Amino acid sequence: MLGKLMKYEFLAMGRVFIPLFGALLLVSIVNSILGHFGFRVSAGIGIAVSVILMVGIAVIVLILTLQRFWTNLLTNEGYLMMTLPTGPDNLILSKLFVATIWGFASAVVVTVAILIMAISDIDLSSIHNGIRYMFSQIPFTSHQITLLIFQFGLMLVLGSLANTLMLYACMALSMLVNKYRALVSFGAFIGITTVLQIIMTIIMVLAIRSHLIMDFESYIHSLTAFSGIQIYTWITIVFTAILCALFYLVTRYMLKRRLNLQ
Amino acid sequence: MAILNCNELRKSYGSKVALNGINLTIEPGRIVGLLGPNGSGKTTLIKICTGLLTPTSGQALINGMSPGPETKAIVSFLPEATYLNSWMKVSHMLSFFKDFYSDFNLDKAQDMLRNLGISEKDALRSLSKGTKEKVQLILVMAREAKLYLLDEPIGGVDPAARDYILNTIIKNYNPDASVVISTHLIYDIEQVLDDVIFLKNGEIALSSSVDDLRENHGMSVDAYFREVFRC
Repeated sequence: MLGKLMKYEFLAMGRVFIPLFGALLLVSIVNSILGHFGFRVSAGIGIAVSVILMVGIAVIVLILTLQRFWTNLLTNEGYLMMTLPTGPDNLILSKLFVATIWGFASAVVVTVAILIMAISDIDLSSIHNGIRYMFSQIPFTSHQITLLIFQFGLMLVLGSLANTLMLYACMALSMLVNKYRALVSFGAFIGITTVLQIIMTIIMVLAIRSHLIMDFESYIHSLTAFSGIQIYTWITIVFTAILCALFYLVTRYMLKRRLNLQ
Repeated sequence: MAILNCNELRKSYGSKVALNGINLTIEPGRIVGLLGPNGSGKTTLIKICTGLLTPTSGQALINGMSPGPETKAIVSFLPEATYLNSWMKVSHMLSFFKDFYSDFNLDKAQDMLRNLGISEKDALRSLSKGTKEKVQLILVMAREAKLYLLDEPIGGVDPAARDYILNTIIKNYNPDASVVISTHLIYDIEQVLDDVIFLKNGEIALSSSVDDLRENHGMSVDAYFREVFRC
């Protein structure tokens, strides 16, 4: 059932993303060809265009993520989706996974598009050398670097899931009222982000305080760079995973128990 | 076993009581009219049976089960709202139903679409409201479900289409299945009903077979409805 739901979700989002990706890659290829014939733009304009592309695609990903959940589950289309022979888990997960996959795909396509546009200006071997140099300067073993790459990847994926789930939870919370649902969702978003900021500040203060008691400075000096990063990454991973679970459970409860389509 | 069984079903929205202790049983093979004025709780009752709403207390059992994935697989529900994804074509909706409902009869649906002159290639956004309602009804009636819950199936279409829709309902439900039709247009559907349930302010005012009602009160369902709900 999850697979079938994801199939239709892919189609619904792909309808927007595939033409968009196509247009983006086409424009960057044309741009690159023009570059070969001497129609060069200044580096400043190139950077500006790249930034606009990145922000633009991020906004489209955000809007579509919101729209697919809101329109498909919480308005009239919800009468169809919510009466399919499946539970709220599959509905939420199908939307979550597909939105996340399209989000990462967008990041890849934008990167490729920017690289294509810049290709005539960039010496690929210097990038290669630069990356090698960077790694040679990191004072970690290759084993440690592999672990760090894995952890950063996990943080990226979990962070993205937590963000999307937070948006779902905010929208689902609007089922508590009968009027001004969009406004209530926005209010929930402001409320949740504020509370999260406060919690994170408290955690940070507590962390520093507890270290102060046992002599913060000597504690810091006792850490190697690697173990310092490890503490930070594991705290982040656990905290983000807890947020994911929390937002998921709120969304699930609202869809299962408090659904009230109008 | 009863296909639908409601037991002391209550639902309130805040302080407003929508259903106040509904007890009812619907046996297989019946066409039941769920009748009542606006705001009497018809839609609320149907939504609880489809699992779209959770009751405040009491329970609704479909084939002995609480609403969930198993009951949704045997309940075919036509909401009052248009739920079709506007970006899809009619053919997309057919494959969508085929994918999700193992009891969906594709041939039957295609047949009905042909009879009504609706092309499978039509984009749903290009269809009129009435045509969308017909497509939706075809999708719902092409399922070989155990229980059909039809919320105002004839409210938005012209009288000529009403006859076609009612015929579609009668022709397409299988004898072991039950159909619940909620409406306030009683005159139009009276001739197809086996039983009627009158809802008044969230309570059952009358539950009877149509034959008994005519015999006991000496009038049609429509006339009796007007008497019970006289303003």
